[in-house]
Amino acid sequence: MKTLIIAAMLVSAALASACSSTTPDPVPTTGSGTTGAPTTDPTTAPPADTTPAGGTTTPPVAAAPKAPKIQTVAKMQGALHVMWTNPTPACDSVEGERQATMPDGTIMEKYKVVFTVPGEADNKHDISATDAMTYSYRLRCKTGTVYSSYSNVVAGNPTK
Amino acid sequence: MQHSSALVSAFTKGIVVLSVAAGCGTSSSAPAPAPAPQPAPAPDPIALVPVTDENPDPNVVEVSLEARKATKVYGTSAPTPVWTYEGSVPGPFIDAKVGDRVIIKFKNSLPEPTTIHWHGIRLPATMDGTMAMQNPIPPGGTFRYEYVFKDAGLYWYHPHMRSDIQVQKGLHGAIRVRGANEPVVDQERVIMLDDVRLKADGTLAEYLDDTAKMMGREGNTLLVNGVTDATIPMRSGASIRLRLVNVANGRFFNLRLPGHTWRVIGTDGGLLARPYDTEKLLIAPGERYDVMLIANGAPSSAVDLMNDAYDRGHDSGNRPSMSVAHIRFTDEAPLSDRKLPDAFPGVQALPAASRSVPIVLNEGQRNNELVFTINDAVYPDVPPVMVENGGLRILDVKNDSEMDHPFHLHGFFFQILEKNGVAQPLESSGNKDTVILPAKTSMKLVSRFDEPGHWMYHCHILEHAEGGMMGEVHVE
Repeated sequence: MKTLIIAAMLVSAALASACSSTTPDPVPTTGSGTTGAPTTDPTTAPPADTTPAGGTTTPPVAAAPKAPKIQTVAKMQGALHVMWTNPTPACDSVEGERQATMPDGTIMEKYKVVFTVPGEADNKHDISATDAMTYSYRLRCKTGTVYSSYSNVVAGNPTK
Repeated sequence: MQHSSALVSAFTKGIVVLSVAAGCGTSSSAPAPAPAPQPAPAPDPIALVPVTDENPDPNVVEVSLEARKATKVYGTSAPTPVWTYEGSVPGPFIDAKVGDRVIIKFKNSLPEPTTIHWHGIRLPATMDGTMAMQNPIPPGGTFRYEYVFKDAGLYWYHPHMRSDIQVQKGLHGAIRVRGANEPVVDQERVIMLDDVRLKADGTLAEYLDDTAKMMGREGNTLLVNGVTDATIPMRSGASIRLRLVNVANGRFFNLRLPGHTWRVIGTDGGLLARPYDTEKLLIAPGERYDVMLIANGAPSSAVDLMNDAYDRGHDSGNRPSMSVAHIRFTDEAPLSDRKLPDAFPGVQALPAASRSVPIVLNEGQRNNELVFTINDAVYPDVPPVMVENGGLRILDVKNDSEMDHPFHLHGFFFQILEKNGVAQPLESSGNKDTVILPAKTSMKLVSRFDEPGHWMYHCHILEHAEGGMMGEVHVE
């Protein structure tokens, strides 16, 4: 009873952020946040699954980890705090990508990796997300060279 | 009261140690033993390990204490590598009385330097175990701590070096000092509240994520006296005294026991002149509360001690309630006519102080790192507070941050004068050394600095302290 899932402990934090919300369902690569409804850019998004090609002749590789699910992007200490659950906490790392969009819809910064944390982590404070823009986040878990698919996308604005 | 406690009256050392080994006090009002042989009582599931007193003098507690690595099994998890005092987590329990001299012959068998801080105890600064007054004790090194217990109360000991890491690994123990006005009860227990963050392989999670940096590390497994899924037996109708200390790095405990009301009879620095009742008991890291209740459950029934959500900032108030321990009412015949105390001799109010010291707690970012500040500086760059020996000061503490901070002062008690400008009655707050400053609030605390030396004050969320929210008071 007392062994709690970390994610469950954080669900709460979840939810109350005034500047973000989660997508209703983890739809990899196509989810959206609620502030400005950013979506992934299909022209810039990496492939959903980067398992190396090679067909049946390549040596067996580790199974792809499952994708994390972003729970919230919360305004905190003048920046944004990304929190997620990770169904594969034993993966090597979690990569977080971010896209920045101006209020008029202009994409100021296309998706790029802005943080990498150990697989056991379930949150990251993006200390550089401080401008009056919508920052959209998506995550992938990585084991060896094998990536999960992308998480849902959730966005936040540190000034709203 | 008509009944008495063996622990309360047993000041001879041997009896005290035996009682502690059993983990709780016993009731002299229990039925007389039956003539037939009785089965041995079940071992106390949450008994604290008593220290081994090496000194026959009843007024001296002399112990050897070694910090060393060991393994511990938390519930059904795989064995966990831990750091211990004398091989146990929590460390050995020190039980003494006011006026006793304690001698700790400490040996550091850990792979890194350490010290021992005696949280809440008024002692010479050189014995306080901080870097302000003591060199780190290196691996293989020894140190002799020696001082006299001046005040009754519940205290605890832990490292004051890389405390966020070393305490989390298991280095902490409880100290009970008995005074002259202890209440008479059927059962008394020391309860050390804690949590650990266990990985699937049983090891402690060492990675400190950003939430843990900001809020303090919270574990995924709750502990009572180092035990998961703990069971606390109580006899129906009995008067129960629980002496609680929160030794967690960052978790606040907000305790509720369904069907019961807490009678708060004491805090950090001893008993209260005017005990009060509360449904929920909020205990921040480092704080202690002394509470009583009448066990209100039918024999052989059970109820869970719950930890309810508490909003200490950053949307932390929406978490689900968690069970801390199972209270199991024994099948013994219920006791009756127990009463809870309404008053104790109170502490004397400190005289008015005319000089104030502003202390502003905050958080921020420096060089892309989260930092915790005092007066906009990060320790050790926080200018010390200078006080003449014996001087009184009002600590005008303001929390400008987005979260609560438990403010802790070493070596001296303080008394709470005001919260947000509203005067606070000393009778129901008493002497404190750790107090919660909720986000965006202020308090005026008064203290008499009558022991020379350099003393620490800091937030007792250990990640905040190590993140910079510490300062020093220099008494000269």
